[in-house]
Amino acid sequence: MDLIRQLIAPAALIACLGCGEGKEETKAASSSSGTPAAKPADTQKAPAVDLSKTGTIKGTVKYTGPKVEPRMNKMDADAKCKEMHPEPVPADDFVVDASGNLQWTFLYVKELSGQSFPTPTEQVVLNQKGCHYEPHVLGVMVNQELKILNSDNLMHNIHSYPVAGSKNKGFNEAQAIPGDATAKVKKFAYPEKAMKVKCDVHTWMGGYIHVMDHPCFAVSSTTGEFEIKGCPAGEYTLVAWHERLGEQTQKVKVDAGATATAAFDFKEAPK
Amino acid sequence: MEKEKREQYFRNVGALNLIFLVSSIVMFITIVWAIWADWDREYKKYQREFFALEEVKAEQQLNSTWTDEQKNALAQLETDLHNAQAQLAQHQTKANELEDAFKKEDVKYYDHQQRMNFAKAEYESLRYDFEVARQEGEHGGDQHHADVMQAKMEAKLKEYTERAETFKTTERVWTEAKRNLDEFRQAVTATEKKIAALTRDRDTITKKIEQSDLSEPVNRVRHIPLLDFVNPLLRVRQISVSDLYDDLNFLQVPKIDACTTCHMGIEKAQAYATDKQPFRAHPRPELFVTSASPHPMDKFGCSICHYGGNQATTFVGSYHSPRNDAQREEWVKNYHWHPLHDWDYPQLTAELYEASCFKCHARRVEVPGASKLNRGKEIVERYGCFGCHKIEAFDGYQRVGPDLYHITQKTTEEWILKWVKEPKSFRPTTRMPQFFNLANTRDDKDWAGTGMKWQARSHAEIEAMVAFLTSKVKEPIELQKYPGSGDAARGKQVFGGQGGVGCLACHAMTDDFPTATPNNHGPELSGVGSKVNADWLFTWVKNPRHYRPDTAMPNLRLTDEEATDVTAYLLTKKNAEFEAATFERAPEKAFEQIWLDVLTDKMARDEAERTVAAMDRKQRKIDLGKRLVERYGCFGCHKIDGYEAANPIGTELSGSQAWGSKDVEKLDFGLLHSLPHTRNAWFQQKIADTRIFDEGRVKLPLELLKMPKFNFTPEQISDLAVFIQSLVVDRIVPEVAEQLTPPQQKVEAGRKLVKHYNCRGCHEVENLGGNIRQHVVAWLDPNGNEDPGENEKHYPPTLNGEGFKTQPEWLFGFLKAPTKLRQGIKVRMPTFAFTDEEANTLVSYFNHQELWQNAADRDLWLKKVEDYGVKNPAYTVDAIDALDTPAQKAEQLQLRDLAVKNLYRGQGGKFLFDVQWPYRGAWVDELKGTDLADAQRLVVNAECLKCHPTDAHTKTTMDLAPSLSLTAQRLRPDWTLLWLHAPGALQPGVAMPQFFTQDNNGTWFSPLATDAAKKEGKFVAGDGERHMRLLRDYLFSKDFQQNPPSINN
Repeated sequence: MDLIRQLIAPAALIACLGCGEGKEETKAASSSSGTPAAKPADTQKAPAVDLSKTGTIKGTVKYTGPKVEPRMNKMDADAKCKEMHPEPVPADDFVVDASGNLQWTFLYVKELSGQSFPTPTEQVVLNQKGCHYEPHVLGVMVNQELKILNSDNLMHNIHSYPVAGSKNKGFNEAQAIPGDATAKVKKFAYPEKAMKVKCDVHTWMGGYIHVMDHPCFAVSSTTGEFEIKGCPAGEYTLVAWHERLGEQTQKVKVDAGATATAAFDFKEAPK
Repeated sequence: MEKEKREQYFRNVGALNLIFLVSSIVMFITIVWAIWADWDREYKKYQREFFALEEVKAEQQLNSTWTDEQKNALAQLETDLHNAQAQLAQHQTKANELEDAFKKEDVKYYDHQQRMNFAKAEYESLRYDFEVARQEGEHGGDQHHADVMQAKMEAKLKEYTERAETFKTTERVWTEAKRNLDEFRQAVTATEKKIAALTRDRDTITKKIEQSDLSEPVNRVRHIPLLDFVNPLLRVRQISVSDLYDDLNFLQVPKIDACTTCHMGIEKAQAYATDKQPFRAHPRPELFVTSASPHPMDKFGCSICHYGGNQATTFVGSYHSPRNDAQREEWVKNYHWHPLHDWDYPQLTAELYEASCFKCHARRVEVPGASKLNRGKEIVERYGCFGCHKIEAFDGYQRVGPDLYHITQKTTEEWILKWVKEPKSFRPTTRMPQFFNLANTRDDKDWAGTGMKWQARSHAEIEAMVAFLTSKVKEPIELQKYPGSGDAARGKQVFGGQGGVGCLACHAMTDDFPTATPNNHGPELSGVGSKVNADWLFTWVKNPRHYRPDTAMPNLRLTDEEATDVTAYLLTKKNAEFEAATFERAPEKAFEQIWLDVLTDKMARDEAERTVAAMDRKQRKIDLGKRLVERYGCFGCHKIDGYEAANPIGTELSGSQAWGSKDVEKLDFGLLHSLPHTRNAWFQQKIADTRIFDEGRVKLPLELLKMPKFNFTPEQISDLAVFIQSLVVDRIVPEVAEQLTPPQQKVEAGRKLVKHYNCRGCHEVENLGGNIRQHVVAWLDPNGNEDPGENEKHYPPTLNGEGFKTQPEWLFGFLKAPTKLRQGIKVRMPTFAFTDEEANTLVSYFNHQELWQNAADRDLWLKKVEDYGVKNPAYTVDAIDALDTPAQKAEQLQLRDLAVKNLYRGQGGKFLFDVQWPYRGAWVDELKGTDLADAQRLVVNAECLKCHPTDAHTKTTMDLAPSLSLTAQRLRPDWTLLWLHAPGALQPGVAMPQFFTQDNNGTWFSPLATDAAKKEGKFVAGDGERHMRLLRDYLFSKDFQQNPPSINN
């Protein structure tokens, strides 16, 4: 027992070992009921934005390029996944319906970065279900809680890959038992675009997390639609990001209480 | 009378008086002038400025530390004090009474104390007398005397006892009186103490300000000429170092450095970090000058590293060296700077500082923190300078070129001719230098008196040397026949597809696998098909040591099929331009003419002509080749039969000939008058163009400079200059030079092997390397997307921490005969055929450079590292991370670890470095009963077997995970436990997830110890700590070895 005690002494063990200087926090949601520890002082940057006058941006994302067959994921690597999906499943990296509506596009306004916004208290959930990430693309605000849940009766590991130069520290944790008992709650201290997460056991399982420092973002739905609510009035560049189609931008003007619209159309074939 | 008068006034008195007057005035002025000149020294100007600066800084400090808050507190305390004193004054009568009482008692107290002490002393003296008398009486002396003494002693003892009693009574009364008085005054004294505490720092600073204020009357007086001999503020400051010496030609005297006379802020790292010179603090206080550094100023002084006129106190006299022309002009203008001719050692310019490290740290492969020096040394090592110029540090090193024993089996005569003429035309990155068609031997130059161009001479020389070398080959080696059926496309995959089997760790292939940072440990191979023949190549890739037993190239254990394919691929890699070029053969008269040059040195011209005419044409070519091989020293880099023990042809650069101490007068600057007359300028010019000093000179062909040209970049030349000038004759006594402990020697020996075999081509070793990673790219996910993190999984493992991770016996065996540990990794650990000694050296190297023995040591270490970063901000994780290159990061980490290690060891800490080798660590007990049953359930329920096979053959989904059957022989138990805690921390980017997590209270959580696990039927009692220990113990148990769980359980 002694050796164990010695071995595990301080939390520094994990915090310092990686020597990458990330600041995000980890807690096992089940066993410790305590609240997450205090964050490093939330950097009070540029002046807070007036949130009393906000509007909405609504729109659609389409793909009108050459027809591309979806890639299919075969789940042979794990018998339990195979049981759930005996037939190959279309990959999430390019989901477009018959009328060209494009799902899993991440939309956000550029200009608000660096401003100060309140951190939402509700959790964003990333669910691993049927050997598949739900949602495939998500946005979460800096210091907002992201709950990573395993709903499958088998082991997944969630491995994050912060983009080069990111100050967010990566993680790679196993979830052997389904449910809240093994759910991981993560917070990211720095904004970051398109942090990949994936499962090393089931290599087809992958998704993207966008860490934003403002709330004006959304993900396009199965019908290619999106709605960004609560955006402070102003003129913005709206960016549409897709993992295989790249980026497009449009100018939008948001008036208080009104709804601005935007429509994106990707014409180039995906990579 | 007349005569007397004349004698008396032999000279004109008036005139004499005038002369005396004038001369005494002149003398007086001279004396005043002399005193003044002696007093008004250059350094005082700087010191005045410095003290003014000190004052300003102290005031700033005062302003920032003596805040309003404290001022208010002081005012409050002063009011309190005033009130307390007033209170006291109101009861003046009482106060007087108490004081009188105390004074009276005080007098008595001291009186009685003294009486008692006297009595005691007298008693002790009598006691001794009695003791002596009694002893004498017992031995037949005067018994009566003893009795008398005893009576006296006893009487005195009685007196002493009485006096002691009296004193004790007095003391009681005195204490009482004192307490009464103190209590009465208590309010005042307490406040006074508080005031003193509050103002202590302020007063210290104020005092400092007063002391450094030269306009203070005391300080003015102290500095009056002739009175300034009593410890003035403005004075020469010297550091004398007894173990270091200055060489004053035939005399060595202990060093005395006066540099701090002007550089007064040099030690004050924080306060003077950014001030102007001469006050700026040393930029590397953690390494030099400060008392906490490994090179404190009082032990090493300054000039042992910087050189210069160390005892002078003037700008010019201390022989500062300008960094560049602009600075030189500025100095000439401002300080009347000029080179000194009476001192051989100007200060080193910043470019050369690191040259000073080597004289004490020569036993290290690399000097931590001296990257320029290290790079320079590496150039010498890689380009083999020591082949022609003896350098002691490289004694015993292998020649850098391939041996020429069987050259004709490998390539053709035509290829060698073209190669020797201009090696870079075949391979631009080659280290082989160019000997011909240089500044003093241009092809188009007229060959005086022969009617030929110089090209004819060069080509004749090359032909002759090649004729000689090809005539010297040894018995042929048996080559394997290339089957001729290889698939070049497959061969390309084996060579470098996603890293290939590992060829790209040492060899570059610039066209097929382009990169900005090619690995050039071995030759670049994009033209190799134009050089070697198929059988040779096939034999070589199958087993390089078959052809050359001492090659550093390992055996990649290629199958026949792989070797055939790789050979096919490499044979397609041609250098068309080189193949198309032809080598113009020299006319016979060129050979004759060269022979004449050679012979006329010893014989008359007509005799020489007759001798040449009588020679056999073929043989005279070979014989000439022999002379030329000896002239150019080919055997410095290549093994040539019969020349294995030949002396190098160039000047020695070390020992008593050490080049860094060479007299500048002994260097031939030729006609290059614009070149500054310094060693450094000469050296850099020489390396940039090795033949330049022949420019404008009239010389016979055999007198011409012959050092070849290496095509170094200006940065390389500068680095090389640092190393070559680090070779000096300075007397360094053993107490000063760094002595390596036996473990350190092992580590250095290991580092040498790591370089020689290029371990860093694949692995990260000591935080540096893994050069092949850049080629392990573009692993795609099942959807064909580039997949972040996927490349990392296919990297060869990092060897940081290898000594802590693996068992010495296993590592030794693995190095001798490597096997595949991770099935999915394509890059292959090759077989180096290490000798037992080499393998042992590497194992002990990995062991000895480990910093901790177990996790507790490690946590302590991390804490120390953090503390060190707080004190030295350049060494925080963030600061190191922000550095530009991996080399800089590794260097900074090394410096930090060295420093922390020294601090830690000073506090009694132990590292593996200090531990008896081989270190194996604590072993684990066999599991029994419930523990065993639980452990077996854990391995299955935690799904370890999903990725890890339990034998050497089973394929799992994750074929990157090593087999668990290896654990007990391969890993160390304490490492394994740590690994289960935090795999990503020990090997960043690893696919192994963290299974157990720690909550904010420090408790380790296991998903298998939850109610949810019960529901799934996977529950195992205990917590994360127990689970990890069981898992570890189980992997090391006999039960696991004999009866491993199957993947289907």
